[in-house]
Amino acid sequence: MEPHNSPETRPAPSAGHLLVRVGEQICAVPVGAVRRVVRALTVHPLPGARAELAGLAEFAGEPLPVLDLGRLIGAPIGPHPLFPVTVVVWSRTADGREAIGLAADEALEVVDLSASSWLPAAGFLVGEALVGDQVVRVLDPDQLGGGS
Amino acid sequence: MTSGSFLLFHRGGGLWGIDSGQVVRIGPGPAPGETGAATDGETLRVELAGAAGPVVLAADRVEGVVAGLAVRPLSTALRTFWPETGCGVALYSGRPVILLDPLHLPLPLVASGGPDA
Amino acid sequence: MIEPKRQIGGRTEAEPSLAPATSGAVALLASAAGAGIVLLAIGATTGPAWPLALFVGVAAAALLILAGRKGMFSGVSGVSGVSGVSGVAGGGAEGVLRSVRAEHSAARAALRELRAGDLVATTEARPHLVARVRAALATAAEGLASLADELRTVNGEMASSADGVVRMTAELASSSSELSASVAEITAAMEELARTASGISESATAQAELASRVELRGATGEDALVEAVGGVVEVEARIAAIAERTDALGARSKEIYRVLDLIAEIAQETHVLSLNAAIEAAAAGTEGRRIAVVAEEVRRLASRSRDSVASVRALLDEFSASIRGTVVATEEGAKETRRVLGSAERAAVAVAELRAVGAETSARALRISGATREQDGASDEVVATLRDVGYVVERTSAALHGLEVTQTKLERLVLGVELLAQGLRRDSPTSLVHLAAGWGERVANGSPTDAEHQRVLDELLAEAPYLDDAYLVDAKGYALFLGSRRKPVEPRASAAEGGGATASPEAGDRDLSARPWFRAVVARGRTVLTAPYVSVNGRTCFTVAVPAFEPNGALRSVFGVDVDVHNWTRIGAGG
Repeated sequence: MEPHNSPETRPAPSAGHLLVRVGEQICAVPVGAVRRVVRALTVHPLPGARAELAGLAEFAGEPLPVLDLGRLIGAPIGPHPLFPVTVVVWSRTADGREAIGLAADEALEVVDLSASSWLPAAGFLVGEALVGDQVVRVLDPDQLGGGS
Repeated sequence: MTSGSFLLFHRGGGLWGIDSGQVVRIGPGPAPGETGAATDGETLRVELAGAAGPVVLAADRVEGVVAGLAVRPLSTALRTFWPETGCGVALYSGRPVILLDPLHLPLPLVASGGPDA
Repeated sequence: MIEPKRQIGGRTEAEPSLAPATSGAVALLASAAGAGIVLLAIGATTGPAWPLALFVGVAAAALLILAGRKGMFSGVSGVSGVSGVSGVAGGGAEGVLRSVRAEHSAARAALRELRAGDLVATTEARPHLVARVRAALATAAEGLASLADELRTVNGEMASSADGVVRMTAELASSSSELSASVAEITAAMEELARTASGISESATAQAELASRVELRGATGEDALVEAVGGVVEVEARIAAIAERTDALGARSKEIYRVLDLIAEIAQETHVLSLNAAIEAAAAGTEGRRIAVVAEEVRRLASRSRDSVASVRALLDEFSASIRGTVVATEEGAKETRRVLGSAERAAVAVAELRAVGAETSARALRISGATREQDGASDEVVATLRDVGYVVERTSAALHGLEVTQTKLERLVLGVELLAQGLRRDSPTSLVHLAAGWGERVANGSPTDAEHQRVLDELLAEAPYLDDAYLVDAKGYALFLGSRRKPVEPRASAAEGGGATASPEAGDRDLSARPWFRAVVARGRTVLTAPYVSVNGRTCFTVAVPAFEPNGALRSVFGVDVDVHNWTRIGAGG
C-alpha cells in the first residue's frame, strides 16, 4: 500500500469528474481519485463475498478488488454494454491508500461539476449534480473501503 | 507458521493457498452418496494438521505447490466486502490467490473437522 | 336320576330278560290278582260275597308284589353274581334291586349313544356298567370306528382322484382351446391365400392387354420429355450462377463487418486513452491544460470514428438484408427448378421402363396365370385338412364336457361319504362332531362376558380354518353370539338374559330359530349334522350343532358351526 504523500486534497466542488454509465445511471468520480480507466478486467469471483464485490482482478502486477458499481449504487441492470470498463480508483485509508476497481458499462467524459448543483448525501455517494438535464450521482472513493 | 511455499487449489471458482507445511495429505473426494457440509462437485480433499485435530478442506482441483509468492495484506475494501479472513493475497500467473489462515478457515471450504472460525 | 322304564310282567326295549322260571311265577300271580278283581266285580252285584272278594284281591296284590321282588332277585343273580354288584346301599334285596336298576339304565344309556353314533359317549366310564356289557359296547364302538376310518381313507383317495380329474380337465380344455384358435387362424389365412391367388390370375390377363397399348404411347411421349428436361437444366445452371455471385457478395460484406469492428475497437480504445490523458492532465495542474485540450480533441476524433462506424454498419446492414432476400429468392427458385427437373427425369425413366416392360408383360402374364391355377388346387387341400382337424377338436370338447359332469358326480359322492363318516362321533381330531362338542363346552362354560365369548369364538375360527361361521343361540334360537370368518359381528345381550339391550334393527338377523340345525337339535335333543347346502356366498357347507342342557334337562343353549366342505376335505382327506 502506497503511503499518502501527495499534496492533493479532496476535490473541490468545481473540479473535474469522470462520468461513467452503469445501466441507466451516470456516476461522477473526481479525477483526482482516478488512477486509470481500462477496458474491463477479467474478474475472478470470490466465493462467499457480498454481491457488491465482483471479485479479484490483476492490475499493474497487483491483486485488485473490483466492485460492481451497479450493485453498489443500486442501479438496475441495463442492456449488455459494448465496451465495458474498469475504473481503477485510489481510496484513502488510515495508513495510506489502496486501489479499488469499479466495474462500469461505459466511460463517458471528464467534466467540471459546479458547486451550486450539489445536493448533500451520505456514504460514498456524496451528492447529485446536474450535467445538462442529466442527473449524475457523485461518488467519494475514500468512502468505499470502510463504508457500506 | 509459514514455510514460504503454499499449496494452491481451486474451489468454488476461487483460487486459494495454504501454507504447505500445514498439509498432511491430499486424497480423493467423498464417495457418491456421502453427505457433508462441502461436497458439491468436490473431487479432492486436503487434510491439514489442525491445532485442535485434523481439518479437511474440499477442493475441486489442485494447482500445485508454489514458492516465492509476493504476499500482500488484505485490503480494506476486500475485508469490507468479504466476511472471511485470510493471511493475505497474491498473484499467481496473473490470477489472484487468497492465502488462508489455518486458524480461521472459511466454513464453505471445510469438509470436516476443526473448530469454527 | 333317570327313572327306569319298566312294565311289570312285560319287556321294555334293550332290557336284559328275566330267568324263565321267575317270569312264569310272576305271570301266575298276575293272573291271581286279575281273578281277584273279577271276583270283586261279581261280588259287588251279589252282595254278601263282597267283603270276601275284596280281601282276596288285596291279598293277591300283596303276594304279587312280594313275588315280584323275589322273582327279580332270583332272575338277576346269575348275571350279577360274577362281577359283584357295586354301589349296594342299605341292606338286602332293596339295595341289590337299586344297583341292578342302575346297571340297566347305564347300559341302556350307552346303547342309546351307540345308536346315535356317539362312540365317545358310548365308551365313557359308567360305574354301573357290567364288565361284559362294557366290553361288548367297546367292541362295537371300535368296529364302527375302524369302519369310519376305512371309509374316510377311501374317501380321501376319491377326493384326490377328483382333484386329478379337475386338473386334467383344465389342461385338456386349455390346450384344446389353443388348438381351436390356431386352426381358425390357419383356415382364415388359407382362405385369404386362395382369394388372392384367383385375383392375381385375373389381373395378369388384364396387364397383358395394357402392355400392348402402352407401347404405342411411349414412342411419342419420350421426345417431348427430352426437350422439357433440356430446358429445365439450362434454367438451373443460370440460378446456380446467381447463387454463386450472391455468395461472393455475402462473403465480401462479412469482411467489411470485421473491418468495421476493428475500427470501432480502436475508436473505443482511443476514447479511453483520451480520458486517461484528461485525468493525468488534471493531476498535472496548470501544465496539464494543453494536454487536456489535446486529450479532448482526441476524444472527439474517437467519437466521430465511432459515429461513422455506426453509419457504415447501418448501410451494410441494409445491403446484407437485400442480399439475403436475393439469396432466399434464388434458393426458392433453385428448389422449384430442381423439383421440376426431378419429375421430368422420373417421367422419362418411367416411360423407358414401360417400353422395356411392355414386350415382356404378355409372356409373364401367361406364366402367372398358369402358376396361380396350380396354387388354387394346393390351398383347397390344406383347407380340407384343417377342417378335419376342426372336427377332432369339437369331439374332444364334447368328451371334456362329459368328463366334467363325471367329475361333479364324483365330488358329490366324496362329500356324501364324508358326511356319513362324520355321523359317528369319535375321539379324534377328524371327528367334527367330537370337535364341535368340545367347542360347545368351551363357549358355554366360559366366563359369561361378551368379550370372553368373542375371544373364544375368535380362537375357534383361528384353530379351524375350515369353519366359516359360529353361532351361540339361546333356547329360543336367538343368537347370543355370531362369529364369522368374513367379518366379526358385535355381541348384544339377549332378552332372556335381561341384559337391557336396546332394540336393534338387526333383531331379525338374530332369530335363528327357523334354521334347520336348530330345529333338528331341539327335536332330537342331541348333536346334529345337517345335509350339505349352498350358503349365501355360494359355497357348499354343512352345519354341526351341539346342545347344552340345564341341570334339569331343559335346553339351555345351542352352539353351531358352519363347515366349508371344500376347506374341510382338504384338511381331513386321508386322515
